[in-house]
Amino acid sequence: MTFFRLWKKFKWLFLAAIIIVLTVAAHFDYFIYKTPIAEITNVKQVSSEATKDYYGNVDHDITQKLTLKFLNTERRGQEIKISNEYFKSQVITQKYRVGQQILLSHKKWWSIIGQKRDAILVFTLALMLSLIIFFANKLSFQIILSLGLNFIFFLLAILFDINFVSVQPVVVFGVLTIIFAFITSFMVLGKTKQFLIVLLSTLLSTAAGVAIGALTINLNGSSGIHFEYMDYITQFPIPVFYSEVLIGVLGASMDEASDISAMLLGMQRERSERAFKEYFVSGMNVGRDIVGSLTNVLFMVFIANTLPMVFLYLRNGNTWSYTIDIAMLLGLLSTIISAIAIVLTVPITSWLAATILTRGKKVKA
Amino acid sequence: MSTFLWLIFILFSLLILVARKQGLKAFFGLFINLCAIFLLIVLINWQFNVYLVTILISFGILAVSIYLSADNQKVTNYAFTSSLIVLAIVIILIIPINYIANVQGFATESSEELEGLLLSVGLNFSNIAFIVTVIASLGAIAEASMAISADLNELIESTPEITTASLYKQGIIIGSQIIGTALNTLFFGVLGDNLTLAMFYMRLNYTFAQLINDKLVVAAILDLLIAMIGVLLTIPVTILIVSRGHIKNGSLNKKNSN
Repeated sequence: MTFFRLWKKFKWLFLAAIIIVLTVAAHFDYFIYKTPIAEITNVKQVSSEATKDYYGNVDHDITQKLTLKFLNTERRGQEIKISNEYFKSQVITQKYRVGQQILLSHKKWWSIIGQKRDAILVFTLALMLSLIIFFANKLSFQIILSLGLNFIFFLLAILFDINFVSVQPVVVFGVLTIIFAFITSFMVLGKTKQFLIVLLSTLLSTAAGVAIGALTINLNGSSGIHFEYMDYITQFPIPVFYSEVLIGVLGASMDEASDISAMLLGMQRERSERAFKEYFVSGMNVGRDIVGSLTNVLFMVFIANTLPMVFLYLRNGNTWSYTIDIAMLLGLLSTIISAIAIVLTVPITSWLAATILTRGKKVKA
Repeated sequence: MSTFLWLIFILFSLLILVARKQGLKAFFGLFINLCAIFLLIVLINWQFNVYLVTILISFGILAVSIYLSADNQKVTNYAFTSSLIVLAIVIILIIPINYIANVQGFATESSEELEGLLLSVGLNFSNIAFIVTVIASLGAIAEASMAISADLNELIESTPEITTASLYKQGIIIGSQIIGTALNTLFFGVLGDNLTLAMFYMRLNYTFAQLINDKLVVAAILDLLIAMIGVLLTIPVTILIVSRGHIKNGSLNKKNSN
C-alpha cells in the first residue's frame, strides 16, 4: 500500500531510475553474448585521401587503426589492432570512435560485424514506454500490451509466410490485419458496441481501399510502376506491396473509425431517439475534419523512408524523373491508396454506426 | 504513369465527394507537403546546412498540416505552438541518439539495392539519418497536437469556469484516449512500411543478438520509437499551451477571483 502511494508520488523518479538501470545494464551486457565484443580504446587515423568520382562528388577515403580490448569470451582483456576504412559520407561504411563497443567475427582474421547498439535501443524503448506509463495512466497497460501483442503477431505472420510459400501473402497478411484490428480495438474498447463498429468499419474500409487500388492497377496494367524496385524484396513483389498497404493504413483507418463512433455513441447517450440520417450526417461531419491529418501521418512516414535512396540516386548523376520513378513512386503510391482507404472510412463508419444505433432502437421499441 | 494519375483522380473525387471543402484542403495540403519535401531534397543536395534546412522545412510542413486541417483559429494556433515545442524537444533528443547509434545510410545487407551505385557521394549520411527521423515524426506530431487542442478547446468552451488544475487533469484523460489511437496509426504505418525489410531479415536467420545490434533493424525501430515519443510529448505540451492561453484570455482569472 505504501509502495503504491510512493509510486504515485514519485512516478517520474522511479521511471527515470528504471530507464537508467536498464540502459546501463544493456551497456554492460557483453558477458551474455557469445559473439566476441571489444571496446575501442584508441583510434589513429592512418590515411585520408580525397576522392572524386565520375559524377564529380568529392569525398574522403579514410583509414583508421583501431586498438580493441576484448570484453568477453576467453580473450577477455586481450588487445588487438584492426584497421577500418570508411568514406566520410558513411553511406555504408562507418567511422569508429573511442569508447564504442563493437561485435567481431573471426574467420582467418578478425573483422568487424558492426557496432553494439543494444544500449541505445533499450534507452529509447524504455523512454517511450515510460512516457506511455506516465501520460496514459490507466490506459497505459492496454496500450503497451496491444503494441507488444501486435508486434509478436507481425513476426509470426512473417514466419508463416516464409515457411508456407503456397499460401498467398495477401491472405497471410490479410488475416494478420484482421488480428491486428481485433486486438487493438478490443484492448482499448472492450466488448462494446463501439468495438463492433470500429472493427467492422476498419476492416471494410481497409479492404475497399486496397481493392480499389488493386483494381485500378490491374485495369491499367502496372505500366510505369516498378514493383520490382521495392527495397529488400525477396519474392514476387505485387502481393507484398498490397500487404504493406493493408497493414500500413490499418491504424489510421481505426483512428478515424474510433473518432466517428465515439462521437455518435456520445450523441446516443445524450438523446437516444434519433433518426438514421442525423447520425450519418454527424458522422460525416466529424470524419471529414481528420482525413487530411491522418493521411499526412502516413505520407510523412512513407516519404521519409525513401529519402536515403533518393539522395543516393541523385548523387549518382540520375535525373529527377528517374530518381522519383525508382526511389519514391512506390512510397507515393502507398500514400494514395492509404488515403483512399482513409476517406472511405468516413462514410462506411457513419453508415455502419448509424445502422447499428438505429436498429438497436427499433428492436427495443 | 497513367495508373498513377487514375489513382490520384479517384482519391481527389472521393475527397471532394466525402469531405467537400475539407477534402480539397487535405488534397492541397498533401501536395504542398510533397513540394516541401522536394525543396528539402534540393537544398540538402546543394549542401546547405542540414539543421537549418530541416528545421525550416519542418516548420512549413507543420504549419501546412495544422492550418489546413481546421478552421478554428484558436485551436490551430494552440496546436501549431505545441507542435513546434514538441519538434524542438524531439530534435534535441534525436541529435545525441543519432550520434550514439550510428544507423546512417545502408548496410552490407543492402548490397542488392545498391548495385551499380557509387557510394563515395560526398554527402554526410549521418545527417540524412537525422532528416529521416525528423520528417517521419512530423505528421504524427501535427495530428496528435491538433486532436488534443481541439478537444481541450471544446472542454473550455463547454465549461469556461474550469480551473487550471482540473483542466490539466481532464487534459491527461483526454490525451490518454487520443494517444492510444495516435500511437497505433504510427505503429501500423511504420510496420507496413518495413514489411519487406522484416521479411528480408527473418529469412537471414540472424540471432537475436545480431538483430538488436543491426544497423538497419535498429534504424527502423529507433525511427518508430522517436516518432512515438514525439506523439506522447504532445500531451503535456499541448495541455500546457492551451491552459496558458486560457489564462491569458482572462477567463480563468476572472472566474477565480469571483
